[in-house]
Formats: sequence, C-alpha cells, structure tokens
Amino acid sequence: MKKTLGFFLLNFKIITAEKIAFVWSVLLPAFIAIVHQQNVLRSLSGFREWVLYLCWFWVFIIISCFVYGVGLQLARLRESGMLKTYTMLSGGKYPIVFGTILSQIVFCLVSLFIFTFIITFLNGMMGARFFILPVILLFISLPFGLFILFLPNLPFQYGNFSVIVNILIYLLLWLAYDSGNGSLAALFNPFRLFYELALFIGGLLRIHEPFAFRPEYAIVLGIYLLIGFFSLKKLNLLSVVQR
Amino acid sequence: MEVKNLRFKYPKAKKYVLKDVSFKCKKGKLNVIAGLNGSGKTTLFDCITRVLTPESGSIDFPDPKEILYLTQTIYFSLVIKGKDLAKYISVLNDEPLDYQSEDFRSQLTDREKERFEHLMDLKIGKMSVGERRWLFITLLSAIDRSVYIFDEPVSGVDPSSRRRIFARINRLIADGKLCLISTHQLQDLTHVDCHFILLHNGTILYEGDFQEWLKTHQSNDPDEVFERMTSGMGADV
Repeated sequence: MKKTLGFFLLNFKIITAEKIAFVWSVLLPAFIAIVHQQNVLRSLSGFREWVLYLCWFWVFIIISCFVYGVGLQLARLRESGMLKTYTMLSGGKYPIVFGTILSQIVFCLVSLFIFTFIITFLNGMMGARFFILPVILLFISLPFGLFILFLPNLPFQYGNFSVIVNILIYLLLWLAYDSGNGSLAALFNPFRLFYELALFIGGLLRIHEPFAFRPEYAIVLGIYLLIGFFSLKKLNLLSVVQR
Repeated sequence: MEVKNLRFKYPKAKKYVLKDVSFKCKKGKLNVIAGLNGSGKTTLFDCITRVLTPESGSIDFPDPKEILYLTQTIYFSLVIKGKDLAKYISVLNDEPLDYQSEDFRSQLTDREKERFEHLMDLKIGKMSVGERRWLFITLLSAIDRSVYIFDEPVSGVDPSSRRRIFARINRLIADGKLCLISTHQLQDLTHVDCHFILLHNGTILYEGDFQEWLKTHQSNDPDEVFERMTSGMGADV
C-alpha cells in the first residue's frame, strides 16, 4: 500500500508540475463551453438545464483523464522502458498501475472542480450542488479506468496508436451526442454510457426527473471490469518496439 | 547464486539470444557482465528478475522482491526535484528511509554530502547525466535488498561520476550484498576487484578474475582483449 501511495504522490507531483494535462482536462472543455458554445450557455435557465448541459463536459473530462492519464501514460512508460524500471524498483507492477490510477482520480477531481467552478462562476450559477454529481459519476466510472489498461497491452508503437486514440475520443463523443438513448451496442461507447449514468444520478439526486437504470449499464460496466482485470494480469512490462 | 544452461529466444525471433548461459556470481567481488551491444546482457538480467521467462535452464537467485534491479532507463520526469525522487524511493524499503538521517549521511564523504544537498533541490532536468545516475544509485543503494543488479550504471557518465558510482557499489559489496552490473567501460574495472563474465554469441566466453583475464591475454588493455575475443581471435585462450 505504501508503495502505491508513494508512486501516487510522485506521479501526481509530475502531473501538476508538467501542467500540460490541464490543457485537455480543463482548458479545452472550458474554451468550448465559454467561447464556442456561449449562445447555448446564454439560453440555459435553471439548475436542471445547467446540469444537463454540463454532463457532457464532465463525461469528457472523466474519460479523457483515464484515457490519457492511465492508458496512454502506461503505454508511454512501457515504450520508454520506465514501466519495467519502476516495476522492478517497486517489486511489482500493481503499485505502479494503481498509483497511476489513483493519481488520475485525484487529478480528475481537481479538473472537474476547476472546470465547473470556472463555468458556473462566469455565469453566476455558483452552488455546491454542481459538484456532487460529477464526483459520484467519477467513482461509478472506475471500471473504465481499469478497462483502459488494454491500451498499454497493444502491440503497436505508442506514437501511432496515440494518434488513433485521439481521433477516436472525439469520434466517440460525437457519436454519443448524436445517438440518443441507445441500444446495448451504443452503450459500449463510454461517452454514451456515462452520460446516461449521469442522468440516472441526476434523477436520484432529484436534480431532474428520474432516469431509469437499465440492466445494460451493469452489463457494460461488468465487461469493463473483466477486460480490465485481464489487461492488468497480462500487462507486459517490455516495449514491443524498442529495447 | 548462479545461472545454469539458460536458453532464451524472443517470440517470433529466429535466433536464440541466450543459447547456453551458465555462470556463478561471487560475493565480496563486483560481478560484471560484458558483451557486445545486443549480446543479451539486459535479456539475461530480465530473465534473472523474472521479467522474461527462459525456455530452459535454471536460475538460482533470490525472489525478485529481494533484488533491486536498476535498468538503463531511469528518468521518469525532468520537472521533479531530487527530493521528490528521494521521497518516493524512501518508501520502497521495508523500513521507511530517512535521507536526512545521520545513519545515511555517515555513508557519504563531505564532498558527497554537499553534492547530495545540492541535487535534492535541483530539478532532474537540470542535472547532468552523471549527477542523475549518481543520485539514483546513491538513493537506491540505501534500500535493503540482498542482490543489486545495475544495467550499465555508468553509461554516458563522466569519469569522476563513474568513480563515485563505483565507490557506492563497492560499499554495497563491503556490506555483504551481491552486486551484478553490466558495462561497456572495461577500463573502469582495472581498479576494481571484479569477477568478470564475458557473454558472447549466447554463451559465456570467459568467467573469472578480471586481472587474470588480462594476464592470460598478455595485455593491459581490456578493450583490446575484448575485441580480440569477440571477433573470434583469442577466444580459445
């Protein structure tokens, strides 16, 4: 446990020192919300509409944190040889993996808070209620944080597949936004799944009308956990493209 | 601790990197593995530490949890300071390490103490290659393990930093630890009591005392003897 916490502290220090992660977790969504979507912001009235609008951004921040901060980060570490180095020093890969996930959970919480604060403050909609839903959503989405461990297991060069992942993120977001309440297949799109889970949480918190929990949510989360479990067991320490 | 008849090939590779590797490590001496680039030194270390699973052979080494294995790549991030790294490494030991304690500092010379303090407050990116490696090895050598494996610990390092790194490693040996390193800098070994293991073409070409090795080949230049042996001339001596 102390090795996991030790790596969490080191990794979190690096994230906050390098600051680049805040670009896609806070600056980009804030820019889109404030600049690109200012007409939409102006048309929102009431807490309920604000929450429904912000849900997409919260989902984007959560998924981005896991994809970039866990999946791609571990893939980058593997390719550079660092994953082997730190696994050997720690005596195992679990402190490195769980330390990375933990640091992203904290980073995501900070990003959600900063983003939500900026948007609500600029629009005079401050309130503690805005922060409860994204926090609950983050913890419900933890199976995705495990699922994304399949990325460092891919036998491809990091530089190549990170480009594909970047494109896929925005493609999946667009597909989710466009699809409406979907089938089981649509729910395999994590943006769609977590948006609907956000609606479910919002209904539970009585922010808006109740939103039914579908068994498909549990099925997909279960599949995420299963894939995540096997990805973790099979995590290869060695780069497939360089020694 | 020894390795016997180790055989290993990477998946989809045609040739065996390690064909029939057998050697014994000696306590009280620095065990050094040398070989051409691509000869399998890192692969051998990966097999010993169970990162890789050999096809056959036996490895009589402690559990990987008892081995501290420092690979060639060590720089996680250039923006953190030496003290951030020290904080992390301190939790890797079973008992928490205190790098400010008298116990730790008594192992350093006055010059090293000054250097250590300076590097604690410096970002990794601002350190020279030699400073980074010396810091890493100094921090890691405080962790209590029974075996220390350093993969090319002096690669790209200036001469005075190399001497300091070897001094740290020699201190581990004096404390009864088993140390195994790989290196290309054979000139550094002329002043070290070392058990020399030459890996070539997947087998051990020579195993024994480093000075004896030079004497047998009637040379004071280890690079020259190395070249002779690995190019096929003098391999039978």
